[in-house]
Amino acid sequence: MAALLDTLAREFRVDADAPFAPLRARAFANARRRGLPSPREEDWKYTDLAGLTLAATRPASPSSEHAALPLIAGDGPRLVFVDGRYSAALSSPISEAGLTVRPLSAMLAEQPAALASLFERGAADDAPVFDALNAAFVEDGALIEVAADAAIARPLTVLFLYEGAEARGHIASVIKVRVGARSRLELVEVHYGREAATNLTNASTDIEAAAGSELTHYRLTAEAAQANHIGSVRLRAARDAALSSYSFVFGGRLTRIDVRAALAEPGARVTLNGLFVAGAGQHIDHQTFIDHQAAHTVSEELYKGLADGDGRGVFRGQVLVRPGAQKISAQQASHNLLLSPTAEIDTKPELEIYADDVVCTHGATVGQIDEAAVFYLQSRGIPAAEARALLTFGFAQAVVEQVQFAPLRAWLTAALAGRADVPLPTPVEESP
Amino acid sequence: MLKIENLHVEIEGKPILRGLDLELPSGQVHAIMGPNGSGKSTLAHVIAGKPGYTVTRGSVTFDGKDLLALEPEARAGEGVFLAFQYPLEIPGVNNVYMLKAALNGIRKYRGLPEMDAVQFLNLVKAKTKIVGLKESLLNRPVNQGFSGGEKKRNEVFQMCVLEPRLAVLDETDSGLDIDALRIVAEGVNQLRDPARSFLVVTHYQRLLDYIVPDAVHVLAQGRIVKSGPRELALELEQRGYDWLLPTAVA
Amino acid sequence: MATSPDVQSFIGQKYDAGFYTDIEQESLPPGLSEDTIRFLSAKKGEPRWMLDWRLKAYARWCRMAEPTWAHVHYPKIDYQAISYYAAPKSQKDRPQSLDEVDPKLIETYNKLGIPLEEQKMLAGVAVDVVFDSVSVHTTFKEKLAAAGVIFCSFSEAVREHPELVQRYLGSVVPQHDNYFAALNSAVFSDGSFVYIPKNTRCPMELSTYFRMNAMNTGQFERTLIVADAGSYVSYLEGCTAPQRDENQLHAAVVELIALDDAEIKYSTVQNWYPGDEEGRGGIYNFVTKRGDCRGRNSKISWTQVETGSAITWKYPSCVLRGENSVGEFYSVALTNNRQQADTGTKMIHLGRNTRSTIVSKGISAGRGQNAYRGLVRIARSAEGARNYTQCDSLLMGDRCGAHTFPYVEVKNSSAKVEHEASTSKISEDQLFYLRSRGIGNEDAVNLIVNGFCKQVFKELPMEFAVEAQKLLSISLEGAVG
Repeated sequence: MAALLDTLAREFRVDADAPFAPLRARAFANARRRGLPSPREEDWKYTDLAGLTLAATRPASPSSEHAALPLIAGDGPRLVFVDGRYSAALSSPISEAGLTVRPLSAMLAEQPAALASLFERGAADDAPVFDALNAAFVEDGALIEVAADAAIARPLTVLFLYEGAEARGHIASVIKVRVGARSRLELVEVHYGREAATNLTNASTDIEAAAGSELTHYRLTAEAAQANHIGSVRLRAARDAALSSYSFVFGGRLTRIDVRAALAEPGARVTLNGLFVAGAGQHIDHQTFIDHQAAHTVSEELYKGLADGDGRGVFRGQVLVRPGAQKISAQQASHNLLLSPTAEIDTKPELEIYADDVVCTHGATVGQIDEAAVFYLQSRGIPAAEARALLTFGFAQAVVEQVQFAPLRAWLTAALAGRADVPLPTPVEESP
Repeated sequence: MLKIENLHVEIEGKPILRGLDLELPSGQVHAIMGPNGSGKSTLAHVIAGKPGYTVTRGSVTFDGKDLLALEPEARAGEGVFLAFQYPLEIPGVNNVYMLKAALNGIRKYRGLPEMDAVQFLNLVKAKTKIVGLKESLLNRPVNQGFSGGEKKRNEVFQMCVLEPRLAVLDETDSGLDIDALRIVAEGVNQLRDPARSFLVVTHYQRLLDYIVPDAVHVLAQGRIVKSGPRELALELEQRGYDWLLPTAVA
Repeated sequence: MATSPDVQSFIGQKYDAGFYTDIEQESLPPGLSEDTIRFLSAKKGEPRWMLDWRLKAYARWCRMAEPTWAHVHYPKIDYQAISYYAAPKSQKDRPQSLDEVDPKLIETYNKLGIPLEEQKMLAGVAVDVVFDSVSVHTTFKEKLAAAGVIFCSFSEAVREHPELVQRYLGSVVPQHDNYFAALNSAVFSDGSFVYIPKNTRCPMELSTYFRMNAMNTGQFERTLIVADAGSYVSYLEGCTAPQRDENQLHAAVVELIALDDAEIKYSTVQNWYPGDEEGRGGIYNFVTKRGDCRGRNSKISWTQVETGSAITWKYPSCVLRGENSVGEFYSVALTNNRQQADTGTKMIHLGRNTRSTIVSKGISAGRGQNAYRGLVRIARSAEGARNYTQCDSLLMGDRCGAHTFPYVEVKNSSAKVEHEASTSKISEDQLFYLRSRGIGNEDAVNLIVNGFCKQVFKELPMEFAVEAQKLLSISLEGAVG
């Protein structure tokens, strides 16, 4: 287990004059002291990091294929990072009124003081290990601010491309979002790896939604087969704010995503939805935590999981209702399909409730495609494999259809179709 | 028997009833009609003592007793019965068992001995016939899995068993087809008695073809704006309510 | 049949004068060591193998750490401050009549309709008369003996049926299974042993008699039930009346084994002293209960109504090894005042076409903390396995807590697992509906609570279900405003 941290110790260089050097050093020292979490810890019960190492990367030549990615097409506002570094060439100018977006690297160089809290949190003694490593290593990312009363019409895309063109294996990044009061933003966060990449992504997203604002956050992880991904999403919804955060995971070897949502003030609403496909050789672990801190708050959660080959999907959903947080509604569901005899699903929906005027429910299912339905479709003339793909798609549809951003919905549809190797009906898209 | 004077009621600070007066003598059937949102259900709930309503002014007395000072179960003990517009489903609680507890609760309130199981079952069987309630529904959890019509019949059936002195029917006709409506109305008519009064809250006139009222009151904007004989109901059906509303009058 | 005297002595043992005088002169000071265990074993006249087994468990326990994962809080237990062999209180130290007993306790007994003689027993009043009449015993004994059923104290079984005990003891709950199981294995006091021979339906519920006599088996109770092929037994443990005990820590182990086509129905009503309103002085109940459906088509069903103890830590489980075997868990757990419960079940599916059902009803009132913790594990070998879990919590009062921690692990793609849970407070609308029908507030609450628990109560033997219902309403008294 020390292997990963030892490798990182060799990579860890901190220039004494660089901003936050002491904090970075402290964060790294904390991480080393504590070591990687083990399955004995409840949070990591189903994910063993013992085998997690940083492969010696052989720098590949930069590619140009990403230009063709459907998600990058179009002229919408976009920030692109290649192997963790901001690429002005691939990014598009941002001209929406009320929206300010800056690369973290620029901010570090020009106004580091504004970033103090970010490094202080990572250097805290109780910071989770990957948060500490993020603070120690982070070089770039996106700082996003929406002014009050601004409705940003076009979705903002933040795209991380992993080319494997860098010697560094551990790529830490940060997205920090502040949505002003009564404002609206749609944010698309994509982590996309090229086939040869073997990176360990350590991506942290921090979103604050001020009173009455509305934010939708789509997070897509499509890492390369040998890449590992550690993601952290923190959300805070103020009074009457409505926050939705989606996590879609395709690809990657080991993926672990923590989503923590705080409903901090009355009237806040949070939706956490997810869809993952754990194919052969993949391990995908989602840990979500919904914290009802205030009265009159509502949360909804729906995670759908597919496990195929020897893939393993893990879901843990905690819902906490704090003392005094009355008039709460919390609904949570974790539904999973096992598509092969060697796949595995572990799901753990949890409710922890310290108030009485609440309506909280959760449901979890693990099953397989309904063979009666397969037969029904077959009897209508659809081949069995296609019938199964259709039913699998239908199963995932409940999450996919909620995606308002058409290119992402198209990509998800294609990805679901691609894995079953049969054509699927293309949903009717609205024009871009 | 029932006397309501200058009744003002609010829900969460929002006034619903604004100075309602009503007198319902013993043995009579009065209908309360009115447009949606006029406060009809509020009136029914306040008489039965549903929590969540604040009476800011006025009084409701029943045989001279202050009803508003009584807990819901004490009102039932006094002989008040509310047939719910939306009867609740109560999982795991057997219909007959609930009714027996209710009947004995009321008997206890009145200082009468409890009824034994045999007496009770005989009573219940006799009453199911009146409203045509399937006996199989008796042993199911209260209203669970009942159709809309079955729920309403169950309400009237409970009324037959508990034999109240004042029955408030809150939109008991809503959601019923004509046959079910007739059966429910017959149940009510069988209970008509010089010592028993009915307050029939309804949106439609058709129920009053079967349960013929002694008087009709129009409730609008929290007050009784017009009272009249049963013919008023027919007139309302033809003309609607607008002509009675203060703005239309003015 | 050799069982008759065993049963007789088991039932009568605590009143046996000779037995009392013998042990009253010797008891151990607090502390736990190998010597304690040697003394304990010698006192019971155990054979060498039993002592060795205890010592091995002790050695293991010494290397283990007390678990901290449960959702309960209590001060650290000093295991060296406990006396592992205390003689029962002498007659003269006990209350001499019911007048000397806490009137609150007597009031509860009366509400439950417990006969006077039984009340004395429960309150620990000194009684000279063995109240169970000899004739009742004889009928009981004869019936069981005729069927070939062995039902005796654990100590008896060690002496009289060593081959059975050796074959099955620790085969379901290994010594090192968990901290408390290891402790129990080292120092278990007594308990009961049941063996149902092949193709035998136990002619009676092993309940009423046991219920009065199982007390004073000590704080480290051990139960072993073996249902041989094609047999059936229904076993009832516990008592609706609040039981007081001098020992704060209780760490019992129950092992059930069902062979081919056998069925064991195990019902528990647990009402140990929960402590006062501030949570002082209640029992810590740390129990390991597990059933092994070893044979094809076997079935083990746990039903529990838990209203007592300051802390409950208990997960009656089923290992579904045999093909087509069935595991069931039905539970009502109530926490009021300062009570804490962390309870649930584990269903480990190993065999093909194994099925399990979990129905858990938690009620939290006062400042009670009630957690359901359950595991459903479908192993790769469990082709066609099915589980259905329903887990509901009812909240009464704004300072209590209700928590649900289900673990679902599925490694077989032909398995179907469904888990549903809900948490809500008692419905104001339902309450109003009932009250508007003339039912008083407290009765209305009881009706709704009983409705909430109905699915579980119907699994209890009839007479017990009625008592359990009463118990629940008494336990909730004062919980509703």
